[in-house]
Amino acid sequence: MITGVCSGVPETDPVSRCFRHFIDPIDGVLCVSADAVADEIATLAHDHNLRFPLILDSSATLSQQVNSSEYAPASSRFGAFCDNILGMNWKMPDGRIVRIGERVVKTTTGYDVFRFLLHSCGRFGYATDYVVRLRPDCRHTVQYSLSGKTSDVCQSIPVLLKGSWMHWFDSIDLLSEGQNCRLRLHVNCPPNESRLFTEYVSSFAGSQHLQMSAEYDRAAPVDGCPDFTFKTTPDRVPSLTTQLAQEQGIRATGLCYSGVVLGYLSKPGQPVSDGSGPEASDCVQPSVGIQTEGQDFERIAERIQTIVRQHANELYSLGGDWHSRYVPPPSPVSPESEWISILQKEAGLL
Amino acid sequence: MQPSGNRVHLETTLRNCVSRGRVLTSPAQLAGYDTDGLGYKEYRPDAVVIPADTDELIRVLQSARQLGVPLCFRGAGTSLSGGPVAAQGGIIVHTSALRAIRKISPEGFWCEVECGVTLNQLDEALKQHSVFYPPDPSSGPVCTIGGNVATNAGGAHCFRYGVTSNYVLGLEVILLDGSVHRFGGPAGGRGRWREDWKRFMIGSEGTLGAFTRFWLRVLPRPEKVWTFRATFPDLITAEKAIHGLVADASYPVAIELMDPRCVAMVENSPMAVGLPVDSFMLLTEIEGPAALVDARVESVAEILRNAGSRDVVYSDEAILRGKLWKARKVAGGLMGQLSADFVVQDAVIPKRALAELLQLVYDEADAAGIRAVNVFHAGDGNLHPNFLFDSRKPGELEKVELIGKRLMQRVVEVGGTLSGEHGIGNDKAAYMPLVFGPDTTRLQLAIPAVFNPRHQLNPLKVFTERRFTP
Ligand SMILES: Cc1cc2nc3c(=O)[nH]c(=O)nc-3n(C[C@H](O)[C@H](O)[C@H](O)COP(=O)(O)OP(=O)(O)OC[C@H]3O[C@@H](n4cnc5c(N)ncnc54)[C@H](O)[C@@H]3O)c2cc1C
Repeated sequence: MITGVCSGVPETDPVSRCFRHFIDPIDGVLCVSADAVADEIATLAHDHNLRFPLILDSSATLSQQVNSSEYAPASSRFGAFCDNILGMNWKMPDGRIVRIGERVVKTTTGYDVFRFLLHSCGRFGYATDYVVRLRPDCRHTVQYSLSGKTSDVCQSIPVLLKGSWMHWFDSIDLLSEGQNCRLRLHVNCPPNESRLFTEYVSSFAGSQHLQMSAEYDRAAPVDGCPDFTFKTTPDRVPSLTTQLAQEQGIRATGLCYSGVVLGYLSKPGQPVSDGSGPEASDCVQPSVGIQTEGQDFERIAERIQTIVRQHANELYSLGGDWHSRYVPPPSPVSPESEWISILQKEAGLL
Repeated sequence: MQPSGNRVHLETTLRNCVSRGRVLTSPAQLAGYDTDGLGYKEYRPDAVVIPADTDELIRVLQSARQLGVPLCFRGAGTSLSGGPVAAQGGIIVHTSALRAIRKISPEGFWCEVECGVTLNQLDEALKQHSVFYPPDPSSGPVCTIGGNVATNAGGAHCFRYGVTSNYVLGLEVILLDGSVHRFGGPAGGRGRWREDWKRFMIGSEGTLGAFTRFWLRVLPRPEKVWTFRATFPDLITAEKAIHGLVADASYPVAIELMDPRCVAMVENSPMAVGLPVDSFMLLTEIEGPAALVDARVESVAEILRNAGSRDVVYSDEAILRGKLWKARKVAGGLMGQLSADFVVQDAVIPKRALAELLQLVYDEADAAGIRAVNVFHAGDGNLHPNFLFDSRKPGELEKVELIGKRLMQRVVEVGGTLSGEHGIGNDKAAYMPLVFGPDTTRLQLAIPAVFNPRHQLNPLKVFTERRFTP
């Protein structure tokens, strides 16, 4: 008889197979409500030396974050939200709740409905619970800031991305506002390794004519849920980020390896750099981003529409896209409109 | 099989679609396409077409649609789930001529390749740019990117890097009506589409359309790799090592386990490497910048020793690393030599259920008199029980299928899934009701309803309901 370390506990409803809330520290998976905020998830994971690294806003719910961007700073190392969420309970438009996806880290069982629905922003229903993939927490972090002339900062990025160190930074972000920009690198590593990272980053900074500062044991960067997101290729991130940030009242964060630029607008009466997103009851509900929140909302939406118009064609030409909580995506045209109708009808997603 | 009059018409039509010599119809030629990596289930196609380019492929699809003949795409045919076989007869489209690597953009971290490019061909080309494409099925020398995307292939190093779907930025697909669509591209977004249709395509096992081109994400090549091999007297100690590695900051790229039956198989062969025959063998690797991985070597070795291994061996030197991998790499080939047939199952389980599932494999196999050995991606909980049998012996195949069924039932009960990387094909289609109830089956079948409603493309795969009726 073969004996192992541990045995099983049921984590799903036996009939519907829907997920129940659980944490499995061995697999590093956690099932929580879609309304759990990042801080709650962090607390649950912390007891097991685990963490959920993809955070945009520590006080936003997971579904608000997922619906505001497909990527967070730590996507540089861990991939998009869809690579870090494994399954969900999904409320269909008619109110039925079904299980989509898995609680194991790999699957090729059937069509990938999970990734299709995850970022569909309420168009086909919404998630009520997520199964997220946790990662080891080394309980020690370092955040490096590299600053210098904009051209030097931007030129250093491809050099940094080419090296095999790049995959060990949780995030490699270009922060840009007006004429200022800097690189922010965040590391979660055992204490004995931070010296190696610091040696590498300082020598890299020197070679690129940049000044480096380091902050130890600083929480992972949270810039807030973005007002808009552009998806492009990694090599276009520096120019797109700095170009967007030239505009009055825009702060941009380029997620350098992910090929993503997160855009933040200053809200009336708020300085742009405070990092807060709009109060988002937003994308979770079917009427995603189109509820009226008064004139402010409309002004923001108009502003974003103008920015999108300037960049959309270039993004599309590379197979990229844009997304905003304020602006609904363009209406689908043929054949997509027919595909959507068939899908909704056949799947019972109406 | 088409009646002979129809077959002549089919052959003539296909010959009009493609250039000379690209339609195969003689029995000797067709025999090469009767099976896939499963080997023992045979389906004879009516014709095989090898289109020279996408224009030819479009014409083939349009003609097949008009003729009402089933159509199945095939890369290298290494599928282990009965995917690229003509389960309802008809045409097999072999994509081997579409094998250009169109562009590599090391600055943009992407490459553009045609569907028939083999994995190792791509790796060779990427090497010159110091980047790599992480998914690494062991069939790399022959399997195609088209097959990899269609099965969402994995491999040993996917523990750290993730599977194919994590790396597909975009793809070009030809639907049955001949229309060509591009979902995503180098930037990996949706492009002009409102929805992310590429998600349905990846892992769709040839049931939605023909993939012709892909845009794939690449990473900088690691500077240095350390490989560790350790043996453990029992599963408890091996599991302790696995759990320790999974939780460790060194983030191993691969965690592979071989059970004592597999170790014994290797050690009793001319390929023996000197492992204790009663042991579990664990292989793990760390990679990254030299300064960082060198600093991690001792802590990884400590995890293995603390868990209970008394023979931890490790190296950063290519030839020695190859030797450490040897037992793992030769296992598949040995099974092929030792047995007339063997089937590799593929299931993913919560790691805590490992002991129970291994015991189930042993109990079932022993009771049926079937030899079973296990070698698998332990870090991901991705089991690969291998059953060695002889399909010519009456009843053996049925026994293996029954074990597979019981195994899959339990896998699903403990919270696992039917396939981690090989796909469902027609081998596991019958088990899909274990995973999908009426609501979710409807959701699943809505996808072919959009792109291939009559199931003319690769019928009887993934879901048994997918039968083509002309
Ligand atoms: C020795 C060996 C080791 C293996 N190791 C692994 C492993 O480690 N990990 C793993 O994941 N798999 C492994 N496999 C399984 C197999 O190699 C993979 O499934 C691989 O992705 C199949 O690629 P292929 O080119 O052979 O595709 P095929 O077997 O020809 O086809 C597979 C499926 O893809 C479809 N398809 C192929 N090309 C296209 C296209 N252009 N458009 C649309 N659909 C298409 C087919 O219809 C079929 O459903 C192994 C197989 C063998 C024989």
